[in-house]
Order: sequence, then C-alpha cells, then structure tokens
Amino acid sequence: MMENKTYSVFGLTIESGLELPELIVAEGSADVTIGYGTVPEHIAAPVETTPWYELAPGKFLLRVNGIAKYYAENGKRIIIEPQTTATKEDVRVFLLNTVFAALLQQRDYLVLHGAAVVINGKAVVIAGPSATGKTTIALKLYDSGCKLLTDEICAIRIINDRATVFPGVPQLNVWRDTLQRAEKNINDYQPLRQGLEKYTVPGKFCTQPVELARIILLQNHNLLTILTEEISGGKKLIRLLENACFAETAADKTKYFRMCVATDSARITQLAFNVGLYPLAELAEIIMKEG
Amino acid sequence: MDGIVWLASYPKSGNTWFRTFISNLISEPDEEISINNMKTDGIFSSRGIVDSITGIETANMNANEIDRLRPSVFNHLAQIAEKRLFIKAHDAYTYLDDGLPLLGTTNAKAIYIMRNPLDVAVSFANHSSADFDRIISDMNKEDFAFCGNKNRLPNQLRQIMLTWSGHVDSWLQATELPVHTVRYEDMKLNPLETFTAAVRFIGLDCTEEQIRRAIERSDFDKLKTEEVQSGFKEKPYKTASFFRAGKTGDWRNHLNEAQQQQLIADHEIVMRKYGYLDNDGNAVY
Repeated sequence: MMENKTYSVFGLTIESGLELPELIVAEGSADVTIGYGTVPEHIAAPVETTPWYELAPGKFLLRVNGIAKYYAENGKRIIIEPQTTATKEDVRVFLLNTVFAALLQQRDYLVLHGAAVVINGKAVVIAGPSATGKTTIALKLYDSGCKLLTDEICAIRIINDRATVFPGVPQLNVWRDTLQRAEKNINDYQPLRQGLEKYTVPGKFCTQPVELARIILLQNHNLLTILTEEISGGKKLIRLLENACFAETAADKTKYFRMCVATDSARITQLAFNVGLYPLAELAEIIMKEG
Repeated sequence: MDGIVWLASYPKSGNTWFRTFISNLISEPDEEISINNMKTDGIFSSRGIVDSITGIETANMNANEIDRLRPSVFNHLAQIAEKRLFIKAHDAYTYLDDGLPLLGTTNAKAIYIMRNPLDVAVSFANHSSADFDRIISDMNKEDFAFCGNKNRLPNQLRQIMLTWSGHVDSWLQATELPVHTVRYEDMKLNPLETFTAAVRFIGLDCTEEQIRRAIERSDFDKLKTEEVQSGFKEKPYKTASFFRAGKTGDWRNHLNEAQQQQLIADHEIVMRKYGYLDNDGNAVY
C-alpha cells in the first residue's frame, strides 16, 4: 500500500492514495481525498444518465470501459475502481480530465473545456470544442513567452468579485504532429498513454490564481481569413454554457448567477480560423496584442 | 421512438443531395432549406456527439478504443431520441473484434446511396484536390480511411472506408438492420419514383406533392447557386466548389482510357452486380 501523498491543483489541496506525479506536491489539510475503493453501481435520482455517466447535484459516476469506474462526491471525495487491464497512467488521464471537471463543478467552479495562459499579468482562456486547436495555440503562446495556467480543463471562480482562473495540471498534452511542427524533439517527451501519439509537455506554469481578462472561443471554418467577433450581452452566457463541462448541471440558479458575474468582468471573443492553413503565428499575434 | 435512419454512402455519391431532399421534406412547406442549415442530425464520425454522450474526452483515446464506444453511443441515442434521427455515415459497415457491428443497429435502418465508381473518382478527386490516379488507387485500398492519421487530432473520428467495392458490399450485406439502396443515377433519371421508394422505406407519411416539392427544392443547380452565393461550410477549403457538375457519365470528360480500365478492373464484380456494367463489360452510365 502506498502512503497517501498531498498535492495542489486548481487551488485545492488533494490527498491521494494513488500517486499523481503530474501534480505539484503540497502540504496542509486536504480539501479533496482520492482513493481506490468500490464505486456505487448507480447514483440516486440522477438528473442526467447515460451508460457512461450519471450525474446528480453533488454526485458524479463515470465508467470508462477497460480503464476504471470513478465516483466524485460533494466536491470532496473521489473513489476509483480500476480494471485489472488498466495502467496507472490510463487511470490518471481520465481522473485528471472528466472526473476533476465534475468535482470542480460540485465545488461551484465554472469549468470550461480549454487551456489558459497569462498575458500582461492576466489570464486568457482558450476554449472551444475538441480538435479546434486549443492546446496547439497554448503551446505557441508559451513558445512566444507566455506563462501557462492550465490545459484541457479550465477552472474559474469568483474571488473578491473578480473572475479568477486557477492553475491546473501543470502540463500541456500535445499531439506528435503539433510537436513536430513546433520543431520539438519528440524524444524529449513522455507519451500521455501507451499507444497514443500524444505527449506531456511540462513548462513554466503559474502556481497562483490569476484574474481572468478574456475568453477566446475557437471555431474552425473553411474560409481563408481569420474572423474575430466580440460576444456581448446575453450571448456571452449562451456561448459560455456551450463550452462548459457538464453544462446541464450548471443550469441551476446559483451557478447561473456565478457565471453571469464571471462573464461580466471578462471579454469573450470568438476567433474563427481555417485549421488546414495552420495560421498559428497570426493567431498568437491576435491573442497577445489585445491580451 | 423513431430511432436512427443512417444515410450511408461512399464519399461523393450523392449523400449531400439526399440529405438536402430529406431536410426539405421534413421542413415546413414555407421553409426552404439552406445547404448550411440542413435538418438532418450530423454525422456518425462526429467527435462531439461521442464526447457529449459519454462524458469522456475521446481526444485521450486511440481510434480502436473510440470505435468500441461508437455503436453503444448511437444505440443509446436511438433509444432516447424524441424524433427520428437522420445521420450521415461514410464508414463502411464493419464489425468490431467482439463481432458486433460498428454502426448502431438498435431501432435503426439505412438508406445506402450508391454511385457509378467512375463518376465517384472524378468527383472525389475534385473534392480532395488530388489527381485521378491517386484517387483511383485510394478507392482500391482495403485500409483506406478518413481521419486515420494517428499523429494528430482531427475534428472527426476515424472512418474506415475499405475499397469502393468493399464499402458497397459491406452495407448491402449487412444483416443486423434493413438497408434500402438508392442509386445516384436513379435519383437523377427517375427522381419521383426513386425518392418515393426511399421515403416509403423510411416510413415517412408524405404526399406525392410534398415529395415533388422536396425534389424541386433540392435541385442540383439550386444547390450550386447557393454555394456560389453563400459558400458551403462542408466544402474542403482547397476545393474550388463542393457542388461541381452533378452529372452522370461525366467521367468520360475526365478519365483517360487507362484510368477507366483500372477502375473497371478493380470493381468489375460489384459494378456488374449493381448495373454499372452491361453484359459486354461496357459502362452503362
């Protein structure tokens, strides 16, 4: 049996019975505990249920076939029931992504699918659907001198009336093709999972929360130009919900209000571009110019 | 519960035309459908559908792991859908290691849209900005796939096509769901009869007048004009236009003798079976 270790991520202290080498080791009393155990078959009165997950206020159950079952409760506890075929790396990948997103939702964070970087001392979130180029742009911004805050999951809370982005898992998860285009040596990086051409890229990550200045919503199109559009008014909330993890539970009134507050202090810009043209330098320039 | 109607085809076989017809058919009489706002329900290879139904980021899975999720995701969708779903598919009808079909087959049926492979080759080359020889070769590769590059994250999931012949046979030999074949050439030459038969197979309760109107509103020249005026979001950016000629037999204007013979040699058996070659081995269309 491994002795429990304590880590820091998303502004929380995590005590874990499984090693989480991706995270920063910390001290202090735990906000969240993670351990192996038996996961409930179902959760009572789910508001959303599919064969893969069940969701209710304060409860989340996820089944990843061949990997593990996960259960997150009240933003305080995660139980993992791994399958014998799964490696530790496999178990961690889905823990640190979907399960953490659900846990953070339970703690009233606004959780977006996205990466975040720091520009001029403020956080800029790069959000959007899968495969629109979030991590690729974050890597380009990092190579251009920006500090990183998070990748894949972006956790936002209101601190002193300001929307604030919390440091996430301190690594970018980057596909081989992107690393090669960025002229990185693939041998310098570890695969995220065996059999997947996606690699973990450590870097200079902020360790403190940073005030949110702007959310960039990525969208791909087949035009030759880059189109930017400022999102305003009620559309801000609609577009945020589209990019939020488990938006269906975010529809409750408390979280609705919190999101409104969060969006009021941040600009939201839609950035539509042609991924086939790979206009990375231009996109990075647009994002860095306005911060 | 009305389940899923798969609108399946090899690429460039008339799938968009058929989807436009269905969109017009199921819309209100005074509502004319735009090619950029169809009323059908996405594509089987949509990463977003699988991610949102499972809650799992497929970006952290390999293609085989994702394929094992896909049938149950769409079986689940077919069970919970509050209306009949029309979902496009370019995947061949293949089976997973456990012997179950890749496509969802619960409460499902399929329209399989087929086109003369000689015309497919010309249209596919235009679509892919590739030369005819490469496309002819691709159409004869067992492992030909869209989004099959393991080194990057495409916005759609891997779609294994097999060869053109393999694709046709895979769908028309499917035993787990009813399949109705629609030939592009019949949509062109006998539209009312062809579309009506498809509508009856799907089980839509439509009058002849509604079918006629949907055919008129899906006319090729109209779609092409709209693309010129407003663009088409499904067009690959390197391609000059998605809607090109919309003709049968246009291959005669583009393929040389060797290219024609190669396609016929590669696909002779299936071409004969579905009426694309006559008894003397000559192309019918």
